Amino acid sequence: MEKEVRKLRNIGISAHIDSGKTTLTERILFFTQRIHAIHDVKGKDGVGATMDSMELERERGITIASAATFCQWKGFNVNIIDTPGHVDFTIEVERSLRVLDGAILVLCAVGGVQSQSITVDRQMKRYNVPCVAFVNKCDRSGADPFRVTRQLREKLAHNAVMMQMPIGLEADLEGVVDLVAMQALYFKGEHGETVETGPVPAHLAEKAAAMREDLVDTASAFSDELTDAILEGREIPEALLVSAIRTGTLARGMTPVFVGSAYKNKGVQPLLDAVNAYLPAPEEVGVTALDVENENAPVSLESDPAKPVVALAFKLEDGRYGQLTYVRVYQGTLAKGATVINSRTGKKVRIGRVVRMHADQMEDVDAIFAGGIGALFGIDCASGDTFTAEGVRLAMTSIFVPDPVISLAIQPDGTKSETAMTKALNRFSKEDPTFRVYVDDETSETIIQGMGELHLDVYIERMKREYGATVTAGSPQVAYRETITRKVEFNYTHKKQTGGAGQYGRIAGYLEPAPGEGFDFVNKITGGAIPTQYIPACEKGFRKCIAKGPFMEFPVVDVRVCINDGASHSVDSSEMAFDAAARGAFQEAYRKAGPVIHEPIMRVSVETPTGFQGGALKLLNQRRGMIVGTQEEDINCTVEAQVPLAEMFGFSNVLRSATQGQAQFTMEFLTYREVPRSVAEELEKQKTRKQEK
Amino acid sequence: MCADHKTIPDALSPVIHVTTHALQAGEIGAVVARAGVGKTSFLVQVALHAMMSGKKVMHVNLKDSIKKVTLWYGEIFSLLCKKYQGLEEGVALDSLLVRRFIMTMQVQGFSTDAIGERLADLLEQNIFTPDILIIDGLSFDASRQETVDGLGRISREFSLCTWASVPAHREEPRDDTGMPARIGDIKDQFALVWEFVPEGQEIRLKQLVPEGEETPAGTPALCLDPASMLLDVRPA
Repeated sequence: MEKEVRKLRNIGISAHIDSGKTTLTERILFFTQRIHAIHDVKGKDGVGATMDSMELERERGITIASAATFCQWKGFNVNIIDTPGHVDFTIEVERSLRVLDGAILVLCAVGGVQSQSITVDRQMKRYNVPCVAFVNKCDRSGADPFRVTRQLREKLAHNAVMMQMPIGLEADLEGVVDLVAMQALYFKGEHGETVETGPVPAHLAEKAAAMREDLVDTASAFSDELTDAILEGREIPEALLVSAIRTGTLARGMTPVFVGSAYKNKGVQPLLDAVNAYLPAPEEVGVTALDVENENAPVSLESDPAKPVVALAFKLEDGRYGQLTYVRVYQGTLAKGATVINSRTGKKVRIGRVVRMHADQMEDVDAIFAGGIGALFGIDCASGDTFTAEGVRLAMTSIFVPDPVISLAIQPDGTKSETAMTKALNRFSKEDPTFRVYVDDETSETIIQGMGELHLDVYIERMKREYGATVTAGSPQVAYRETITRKVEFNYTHKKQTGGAGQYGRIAGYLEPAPGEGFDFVNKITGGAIPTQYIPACEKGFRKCIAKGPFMEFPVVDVRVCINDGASHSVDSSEMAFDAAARGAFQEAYRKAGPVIHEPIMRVSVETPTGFQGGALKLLNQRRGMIVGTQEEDINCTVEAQVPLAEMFGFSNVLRSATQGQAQFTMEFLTYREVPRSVAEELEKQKTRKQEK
Repeated sequence: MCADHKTIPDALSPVIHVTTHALQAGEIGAVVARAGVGKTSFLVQVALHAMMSGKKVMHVNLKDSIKKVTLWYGEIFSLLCKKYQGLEEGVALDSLLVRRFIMTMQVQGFSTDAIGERLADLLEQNIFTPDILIIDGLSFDASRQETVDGLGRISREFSLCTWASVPAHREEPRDDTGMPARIGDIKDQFALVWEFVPEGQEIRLKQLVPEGEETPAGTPALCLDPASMLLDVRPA
């Protein structure tokens, strides 16, 4: 692997589902000679695009797991992570963005900036990832890259500026005008592999000149030298303009927009040039780690292969070659045969095989240098672990992981399936931190939890396909929670005389709401009213109660328990007695504290042609949705709403049939809110019915 | 109607009284100011005041996205909470938001007929029945007569109190009453025109319509705090 960090790019390709990012990646791999034949996403040849390596992905035409791949373009090494487009898989997108230095934001020339692009853009902002935009599908009927660029400015607040203008549009798309070099580019040959340059077509010259002026004007904000050149009326050297655009892009101050059609092999090579020219090298991105031994103080890392190694395991995969751990090296060199420390467990790890991935193929390498992305074999770790050189205790900032909002009971069909299911679940929960598994104590059912219906569906499918485990799934359950609404005092005595040693413990204090605090235990006991050695038992007793609330048996959150008085007996008091006293006190006080149920609320965004706006509003309204607003643009409209997750099951089918398949929606978790009285009553009835059974 | 009044701090009540009683249903009020002087901030406050009084607001914006309009509300509400002690404890923004419906559209896509259609649809489906209509971002240039006629029509048809922002320029010619030229010929259509004028350390509210009265009859004079852009009762 090349040691030169300056000529390394780690990029992601992020976009709305169906805007053609997998096709674009496929073309990039073709032009960089990593593959020698082109397959389409839902190819008739049955091969499918190289990046969609899972069978399921090929069948559904969507990309589920990020596949890292490596290629070279004009002397630069480029690592590409193909990221999933559906919002249910955003943990994948988030993890990709965490390890990437730059991104290509793919937009559809017809659909424009859609709701998923907005979600992805929000994530890019969170990790401060600079990007270039590629307006794809300019060969499609209704393509308008100018409108899409405008939407980038208006909807996503990007300082978007076109770097190219299309020569012809829709079926007449011939090539593009490069506004930096002011020349026309045509893509000739069977697969557009030969880029021919020519003068700007006369009928476009005037418009191209005006657009170049816009470009120069925008870029001048990032270069004094360029501003001077403009003021003095000098000829603007191409290199100066490129340098100003690069500065602006790296600072996320501007977003260069490229146009083309990946499917028709037009505009891909200039986009690769742009990746080299405008996206950052690893050394240009400030990365900090946390010093574990110094109260997690931030430490800046340097992309220097000679420094002690710091690497992040960002993805685990159980493929046909065994367990693969994808790593990004931030500092130093991760070499074959070296020993590193897993800073979470403190255990030594010996690096065996080191490989560079190309979708589902791989090549062995000796080392991954600072800035690089690769994969390791046979390493036991969890996703998000940091590997460091011996003597260095650093951890990369933990990746933001949202709590799951939906759960499903699954039952294996037969013993064979049970073994396979256990294996699969173990793997999935290690790979994906938003996917969790537990066994319900009472029903002994296996419960899987995740971020949405599709998220869990895909894992059930994968269990079947990859592990041969067929399971029967119950209906999805929403992750409700309980909390209290008022402060209540308690004074509870646990007293039992059963022959042998008795049990005695008195505990007094109060429960109160503590929004945003989870569970807070406060000990205000003075004068040894409860002996110090029994305080942990009190806390343990309270903690047992919050796992399953006394009201509806949902987990209890945002509660503060304060103990301030009590009594003990020199013989009969024990940890067990105070544990029981705490539970008794909680049960007693909780019911008086106005317990309420909270449910997850999703931020839902429906995109629809304006004609179906009324229908979409009606559907959301029927689902207890609070309509935040509508955003109309040309013939399309976006409806933003906040809807309880419990009401969103099966929404995609209903929306599709209400809008003749023309509307689509995305949703993501927003917050927890109290359920209305009627819903709470219904939940109580359900609980009673369940108990009667 | 004033379901939440018991929870509103005493110091805020007089300001809310002025904004919520300034217009009758079916009337249009305009707020005139130069760019950056506080038109949007004023309109968001009018909306929040109405929502706190139990009324429903439809907020039409022709410049910004839903997200940005939402941010305006969040920002103004948190400024109000900072200024008026007890507001945060008494009123939760989340509980107010069910009384707001944001509609954003491009200037070229705007027509009062389109707004009327959307309103009729929302009413028919029983999704949202506004009492107040806020229109922010109209330029009141070429088709202003048509626009203001249309606004009057939907205000009367749906019994709305309509507030619109009107941009003014420093150099803009004024008539004898001080009315900016761009709405001089349609001023009769407005029940109320208020202008915010920066004067020294404060932004003063000047009433242009009805003429001859410095402030709304029987109400305390208002001003905008230039630091927070919050409305306040002007010290006597």
